[in-house]
Amino acid sequence: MIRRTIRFFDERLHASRFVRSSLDKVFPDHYAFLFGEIALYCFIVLLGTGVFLTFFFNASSTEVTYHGAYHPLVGATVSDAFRSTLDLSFSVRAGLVMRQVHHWAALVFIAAIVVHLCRVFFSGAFRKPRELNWMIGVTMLILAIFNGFAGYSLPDDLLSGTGLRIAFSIAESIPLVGTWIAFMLFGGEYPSHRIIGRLFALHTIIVPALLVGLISVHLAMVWRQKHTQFPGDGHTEDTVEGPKLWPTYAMKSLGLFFAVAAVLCLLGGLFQINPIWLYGPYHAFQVSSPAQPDWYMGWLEGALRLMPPWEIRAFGFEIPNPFFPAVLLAGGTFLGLYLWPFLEARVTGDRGEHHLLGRLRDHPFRTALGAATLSFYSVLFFAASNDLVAKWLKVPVSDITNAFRVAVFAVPALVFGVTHRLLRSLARSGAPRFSEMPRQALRKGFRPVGSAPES
Amino acid sequence: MSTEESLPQRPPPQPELQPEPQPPSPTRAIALSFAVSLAASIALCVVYIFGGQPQLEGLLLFFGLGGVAAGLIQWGGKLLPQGPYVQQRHELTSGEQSQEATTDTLEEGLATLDRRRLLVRLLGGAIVGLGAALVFPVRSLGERPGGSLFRTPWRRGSRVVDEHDKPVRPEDLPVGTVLTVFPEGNSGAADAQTLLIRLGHGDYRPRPGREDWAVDDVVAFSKVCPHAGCPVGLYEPDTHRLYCPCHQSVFDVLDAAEPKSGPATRPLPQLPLAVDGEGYLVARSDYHEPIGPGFWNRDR
Amino acid sequence: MKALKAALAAPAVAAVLAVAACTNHPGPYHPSVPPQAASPAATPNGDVGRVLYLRDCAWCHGGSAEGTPRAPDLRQAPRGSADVDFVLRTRRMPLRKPEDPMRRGAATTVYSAADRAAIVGYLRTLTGTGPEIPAVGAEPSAGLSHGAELYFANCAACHSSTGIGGTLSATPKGAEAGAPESFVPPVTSSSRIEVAEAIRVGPGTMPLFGPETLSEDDVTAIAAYVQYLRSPADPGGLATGHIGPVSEGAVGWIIGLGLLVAVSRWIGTRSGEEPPPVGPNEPEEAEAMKART
Repeated sequence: MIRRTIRFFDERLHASRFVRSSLDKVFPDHYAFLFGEIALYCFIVLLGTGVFLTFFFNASSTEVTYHGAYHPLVGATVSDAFRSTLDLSFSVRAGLVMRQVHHWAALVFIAAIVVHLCRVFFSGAFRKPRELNWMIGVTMLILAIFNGFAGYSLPDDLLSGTGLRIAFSIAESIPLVGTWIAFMLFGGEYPSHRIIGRLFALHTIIVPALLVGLISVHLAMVWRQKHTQFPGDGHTEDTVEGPKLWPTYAMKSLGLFFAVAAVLCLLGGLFQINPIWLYGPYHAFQVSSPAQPDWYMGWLEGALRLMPPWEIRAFGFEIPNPFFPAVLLAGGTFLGLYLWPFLEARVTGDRGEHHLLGRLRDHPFRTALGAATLSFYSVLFFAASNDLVAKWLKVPVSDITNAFRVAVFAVPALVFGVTHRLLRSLARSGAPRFSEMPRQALRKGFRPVGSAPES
Repeated sequence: MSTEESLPQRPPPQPELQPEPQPPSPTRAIALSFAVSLAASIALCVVYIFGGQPQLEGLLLFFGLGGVAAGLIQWGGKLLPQGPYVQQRHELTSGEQSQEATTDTLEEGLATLDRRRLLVRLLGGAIVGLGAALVFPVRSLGERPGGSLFRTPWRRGSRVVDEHDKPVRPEDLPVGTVLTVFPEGNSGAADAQTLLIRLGHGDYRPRPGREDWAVDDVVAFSKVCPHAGCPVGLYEPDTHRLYCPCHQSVFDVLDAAEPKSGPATRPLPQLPLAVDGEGYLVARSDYHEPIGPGFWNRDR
Repeated sequence: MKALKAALAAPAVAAVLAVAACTNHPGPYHPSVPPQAASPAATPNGDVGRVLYLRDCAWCHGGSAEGTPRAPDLRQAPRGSADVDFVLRTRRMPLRKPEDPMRRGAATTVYSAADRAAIVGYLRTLTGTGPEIPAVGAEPSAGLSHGAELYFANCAACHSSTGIGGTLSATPKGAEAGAPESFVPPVTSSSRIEVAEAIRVGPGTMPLFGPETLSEDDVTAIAAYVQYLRSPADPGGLATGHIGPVSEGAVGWIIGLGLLVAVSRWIGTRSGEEPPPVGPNEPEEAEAMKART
């Protein structure tokens, strides 16, 4: 049976040797190399659950009177998008679980991308020949964040609608073309009746299609270039070691897919997420607090909250306040990410091909800078909940905000210094790991006693 | 102890007679995983047939999928060869010769562009023309901003109504109250949303020229935050502060809604009020400046 | 420098002692003195109210509710019966110390309904102005949605859509840093009458809403929706505090990604780790694979 299938395709596509070499392909199976797969499988869950949701959701801003199964809102005036989401949640069997799994999958998807990005960054896997793949990855991160925002804005509830208003204002703040961009994107002055439909097209067709394409190129490049490996254990630059794709790696990877789906379903059934019936339908003159976006937008929201009231006004023109923390910061962030492999190559002068990953201690500046950058965005992220922090600590929110303003500079500086010192000391001491490093190594002028340390 | 000497010593076990330590068979664990999964899936069918219940659905899906996951992972990790197998990496570069040959091939094909300069220029012009033509469908995506950001539906004489179209008299509003209002006929309009606030007697401290903008200590300010456009929904009568929940901007109502804290850089625009012949509140005019967040040419 | 410090220290010490003297003064009512039982029911209500008022409230609010430096004049509009009833019903008053902020449940005494009515009645004779205790029906006339819509429009901005309360701008004058008036209390402990009173009275730093803005029917509807918010529909599972994306993000990272990273550790190898040997029961598979490499 299998032989006949193989013959069928080989006689038409000359595929036999390719299939065999693929089956025999070796993949390193360090656990840290699985983070990208977690993201990939989250995406597949998103596609599956998303298709189901599109069969029920109605992306329309037309106002209707709600007459569904959620009793407290019967008789209320809501948009049809809101109504259809309520029906999905209360009247469609398994609809609520599908919706919740979809939303949890989005949160975990982007979390997995970030963890994967950190692994690639800190291990130096973005170096030649993998710069292109790095840039594709950054693009997918941007698309995923955008798609998440678009997705949770679809139900047109009071919380996400507030976020759409902020998005319009951010677009508006771009110099010269901001108002045009905002009006083009939204289809008119805020709140246009077109935005939900547009977000739906972007969220369900355009961005997923782009992601599928980019994921395919991303994986194809990994396939072609072969995966990187950590040094040690006899690994070399010229070889790759591990189990074979067939049957071992394929089976374990399939198992990971089921595990991802299992965890997302556990969250989707046990933990309520985005209960829009409690938030209420969106009206542009209403708002609720606390008002935060989903976690992956938190760094932008925190930046908006921490930014002091500065703006530029000259000759009758202005660059309004939100431009700096939202547009410049976001643009700078992603530009920095895109350019990093080339910047590092230029600064270090290292333009060689690398298939062995670096140890953290061999790249103390990159690691320290990466850690500091992570801490910078983490401070911004936590700053987005400054009003909740104020409530929990019983401290006025203005004091919390000022503390975060200090922290956003102080914490990265501290993290950089500590990380750099620790790694340099570790490298100098020659100890195999931190726990075996002598305390004295932390002192600046330390030189190890006895023979030169193994590199 | 004396018992040690009296009890016969058991001879030490012979090495050959010791049983071989058997590692536990993973097969049983894998089989159990799959069985758990099957049971969960059946239970899930039952739950679904009886109308469904989200927590049960999620939990049973977890065991259904997780059972398969656990089984496959153990199967792959314990029953199949782990290697490590070693494969050679191939040189990624094809070599200078190959790169030269490819460059030559490409350039030969492109040479026609060098030879036919005029045609290339005309082609360029045609493409630019097509590009210009394509802009128009893109342009259909939205209206031009024009003056819409500079105006709201408020006009001279617009009656002040709440969101249910009910007009408002100043005496309806007790001291310390706040009400969201709109111009009659545009109830719910996003850019027209306005806050009516009744201040205490004598609390109104108008800017020069705004002395008659309040009626009986009732003042009106735009509800749209000049920072990022959120409705400034929190009013604190004790301190006469308006507080925006999005990014914590604070506006002092007694100081013409100047921002006192947070990222907002401009005060909330004030709507001039009057009463009409029947005692209802009306606007004297539209706002005297654009409401809402800033944009490039706002000050023109 | 030392002389300056000494010069400042003396009046500071004196001020502290003076404040201590005032606050620790065992006035007509002091926390260490147990509350006395009210007079027997035969006495007219006005007397019970007067007795309780003088015992528990007069020291701060004055013998005739005229106010003192410690507490405001209760005779001024818009204070009325609804105010008094609200602060007593929600156990915000009497305060332990005059400078304490009002907080639900922090009062030193809990009054029975009869005693509360007596105090309210007595104060009515002194003040005579301000909103009466509002009448609030048990069921709104037309389902919960009218109340829901009014709640989203008027209440959600401060009290949150889910009723968990929120944060205010900064410390109001007269409250200490971190005092509850910097924060909006949740509404999920409020009874219908308390909701109605709060709407009419605007306790603390809350705005108030007159009958022309929110009619009696409107207030009844909002009160009914607030009752619903005490145990709202959470069909999706654990609500993680009804806070929203912040707690959801925490769950997604800690539980979601945490579990999956743990699974990755289980599946994959670590540096320096030998791959696990294939079990002795399965030599055939291993041999078959090895033969083909």
